[in-house]
Parts: sequence; C-alpha cells; structure tokens
Amino acid sequence: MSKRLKIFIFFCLMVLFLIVGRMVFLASSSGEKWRSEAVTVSVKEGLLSAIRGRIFAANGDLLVWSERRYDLYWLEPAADEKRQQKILRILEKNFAFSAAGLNSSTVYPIAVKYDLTANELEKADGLSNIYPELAIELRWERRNSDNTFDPGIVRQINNMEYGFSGVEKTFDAILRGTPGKYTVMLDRHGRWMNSTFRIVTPPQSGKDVYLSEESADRK
Amino acid sequence: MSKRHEQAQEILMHTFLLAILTAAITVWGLLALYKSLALGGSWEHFLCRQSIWVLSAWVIFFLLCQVKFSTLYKWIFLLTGIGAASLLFLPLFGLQVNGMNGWYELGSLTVQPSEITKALYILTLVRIMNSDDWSELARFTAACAVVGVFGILLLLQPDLGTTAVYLAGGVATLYFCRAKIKYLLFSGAAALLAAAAAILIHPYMRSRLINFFDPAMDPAGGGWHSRQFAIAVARGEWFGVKSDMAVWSNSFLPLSHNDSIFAGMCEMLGFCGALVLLMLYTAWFYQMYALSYWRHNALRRMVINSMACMILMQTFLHILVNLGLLPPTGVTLPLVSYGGSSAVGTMIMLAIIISAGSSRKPQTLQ
Repeated sequence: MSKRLKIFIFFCLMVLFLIVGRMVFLASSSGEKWRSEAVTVSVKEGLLSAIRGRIFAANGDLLVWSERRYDLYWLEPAADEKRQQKILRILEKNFAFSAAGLNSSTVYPIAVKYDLTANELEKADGLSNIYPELAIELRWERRNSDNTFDPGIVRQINNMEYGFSGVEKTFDAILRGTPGKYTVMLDRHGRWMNSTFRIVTPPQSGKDVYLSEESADRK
Repeated sequence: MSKRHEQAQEILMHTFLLAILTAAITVWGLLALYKSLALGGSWEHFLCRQSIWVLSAWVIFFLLCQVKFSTLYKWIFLLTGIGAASLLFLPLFGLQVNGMNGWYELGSLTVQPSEITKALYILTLVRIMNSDDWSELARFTAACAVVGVFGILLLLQPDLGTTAVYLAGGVATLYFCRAKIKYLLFSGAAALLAAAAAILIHPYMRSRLINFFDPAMDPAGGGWHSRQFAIAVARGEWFGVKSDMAVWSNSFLPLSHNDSIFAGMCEMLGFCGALVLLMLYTAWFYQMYALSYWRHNALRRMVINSMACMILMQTFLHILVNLGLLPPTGVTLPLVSYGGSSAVGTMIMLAIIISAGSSRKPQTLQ
C-alpha cells in the first residue's frame, strides 16, 4: 500500500470518528436540548371532551341527550391575497359562505358553517388538510325529544359541557364526566400529523341520571 | 496457485462483493425514500420514479462494464468536452429548480448533467496527470485549469454543494496522481483565498457561514436548516422513533428524501441504524480500494482510487452537512438520496472502477 493511500485512509478514519462522535453526542443526553426544542415546536396537547350523561324520566323515557355537531371555522387570514381569494372562492362554492362584510378589519376566527352535514364534513376535512387556515371544531349539542331545549341551560366551555340551571345544574357533577387528554405532533405548517395522534388519558363519559317524580317536578 | 491466478481470483471476488454491496445500498435507499415520505402521502410518485431511475442506472452500469477501459480512456477528452458544453449551456436552456439552473428538461425527465460529468471529470484529470508529453508543472497547471473550469461552470448555476464535491474530488485525484505536495499546498492556499473572497463578495455566502456558527441568531431563516438537522438526529436517539412518529423526516427537514436523507434516517433508525448504513458504506469503499490494491497497474490504480474518492467525498459532505458539522448545502447521498441523475452518475463511476479493475488480458506484475 502506498504512503499516500495510507495517509488518505488515516484522514478518512478521522472523519469517520468525527461523524460517529457527533452522532453519539446528539443521541445521548447531550441532545436533550434539541429534543426538548422538538417538543416545544411540534407537540400539541389538548382535551378530549367527555360525553355528557343522558337524563331519563322516572318511567324510563329518554328526556335529554347530547349530540355531536361539527362546525367549520376560518382561523386566520391567508398569508397573501391570492391565497385568501382562493380560500374564499372554495368556501363560497362548497359551503355557501358569503364574503360580504369581509375586509381588512375582520376579526378572525370566522364561523364559516355550523352543523356540517356528512358530505360537508368530508369536504371540510380535505380542505383543512390543504389549508391550515381552516379548522373543523367539534361541538356537543344538548337535545330533547321535542327540540325545545334552551341552549342557555348547558354551555360548552373548553370542550366540556356545564349545566347552568335546573336538573342539569343539580346533577352536573354526575352528568359532566371527566375530559380525556391527547397529544398530537404538528408539521412545520402547524397542521396535525394524524399518525402521531395519541390518547394520553381516555375521556370518562358522564353517568346517566334517572329522575324520580320529585326531581322531575323540579325540572 | 500462481500469483496471477490469485490476483484474478481476488479481483473477481472484490468485484462481486462490490456489486452485492451496491445492490444493498440501493435497496436501502429505496426503503429510506419510502420512509421519509410515507407520512406525507406522496411516496408512490417518488418511489416509482426512483425505482425506474435505479433500474436504468443498473442497465447503464452493466453496459458500461462491457466497454474496455482503454477505449474510454482514449476518447475521454472529447467526452469531457461534450460534458463541459452541457454545463455551459445550462444558464441558457436549463430548467430552474429551487433557484438553481442545473437541469435539462427532456420530456417528463429532468437530467442534471453535473452528476453525469463527474466520472468524465475525474478521468480527464487522471489522463492529464499521466500525460508523458508535458512537464510536471505543466500537467499540474492543466489539471488545475480543468478543476477551475468545472468549478466556474458549476458556480454559474449556482450549485455550491456540487462545486464542493468537484473541488474535493479534484484535489484527491491530484493527490493520488502523485502531484507534488508543495503544488497541492500552494493551490489549496489559493483556493482558500478565493473562497474567502467569495464569502466577502456574496452576502448570502457570508450569512450562511455566520448562521452555521450561530444557528440561534436567525432560527427561522439562515439557521433553520442546521437546527432541523440537529433536532432530527437528536430525536432518533439510539434506536430511532416509531415510523409513524418520524415527523422531522416527513415534514421539518428540507428535501428530506434528497439532501437531508441521512438526518431523516437518524431520526427513523437512531444511532444504531445509521451506524449500520455507515458500516455498509465503509465495506463498499473498502471493496473499491481492495480492487485497486490487487490491480498492479499504476494508471488503473489511480483511476480506481480517484473515482472511489469522488464518491467518498460526496458521501462525507452529505453526512457532515446533515450532522451540522459543515454549513448547509445541497449534496445527495450516493445511491440513497432521491435523484435519478445522481444514481446514474454514481453507477457510471462504479462501472469505470470495475472496468479499470478487471483485466481481459493477463497482467504483468510490477
């Protein structure tokens, strides 16, 4: 083996040691600084709402229950006018959204459409993946059999339903349940990366309440 | 067993092992490409294209292995002239991607000539350095002129990463072709001065260097790449993250299937997985240098060593950039990164290595 080749091999080994050394440095506890930065940048934690318990009459009839509703929101204006107009056209076409009243002083988020249908939900899901400016929000709606439930009785705060009057308030602790916790990682555009969604604590549904004659009178 | 027979046996064995390792690295590359794009959902298109490119590169490799080394060596100046012309016309007819005029568009294909001309460039340098008609200084000057011409043509695109690979490969070739050390040192000093001048003249080069030393200064701008590389490698720790959690290789790393594939692999496979790839590369290069060891013809040894060195320099540059040990620049990892021209260029160099290593006529031992 020539002397030059030996020197060259020595140089290559030095570079190889440098590479392995750097890899060990970053993989070991010394890389903790970067790992915590990754968590800060990309990990999002949130609450999973618990289903509020149902209320039954003394004779076993279902009186009140919660239903899932999905709403579409426009969270923030697009980075440029071209994109803003494109989003606007898409929303007008698919969700009959009106651009009237939209101007530079508009305060975001804007509710584009409440109570999406199954078809609209599918469209909105696809769009929110392409345009992070759009987001679908889950909302629980309290219903009764004759659709006369006053929305002021149960209000949603931070993904949880709280009872504010009557039986809903009296039995709130039983009906409310316990929210769960999730983590998800965001990509560099701030969008969810679905494969990284993990439920840390599953939500505990609220318990059903069976009214006695006495409590039904109070309702 | 006669020495000649032993030599032929060894060369055959190393050629075979080289081909096997090349195939293993190629398959690794396809898997890495899939993994680095899987979460984004666009992997089918890239994997399909890269598979076609890899197959084409292997066909070119087998065809070139049939060409006699002496034939190639005879026509090298003409071939290099054509190659240099293809680089020269890039600013006029080339396709601009990411601010770089480095590709020709041929229908649905894009070809990067600078990847294909690597082998011709090295062979030209070897031929100049082995020319008997010129004095040693004249040979060295002519070789430096070739390095300079290619360097300028690449900087016109502008492709700093490939320029660095050409420069490192060129210097290594001159070194293996027994250029005097004082000439090398002198030209190295001149190259450093030129680099310093370029850094002073071009603000973007200066900012790239400043951000390399202090990525926190502009974390969302110039320091972005260095930070993402470090985070990706650190996230992988010893055994890598679960494949559905490889967020950095699938989103944050710039061109994760191409210029950042090593950092992406570190995230997905961790230190241990990346070490296996490093060992695979080490075995691969060892086979190339083993071929030159058993080849007792000085010229062919120079060709094998220089070609191997060109691929090695590219590998080192990619890995060093991905580990944040060099300023960020776009260099592909041979046979692993996405890129048809890069795969074809590497396979051409391998074909020349095997062609120079094999002997159809009995060799006389020196």
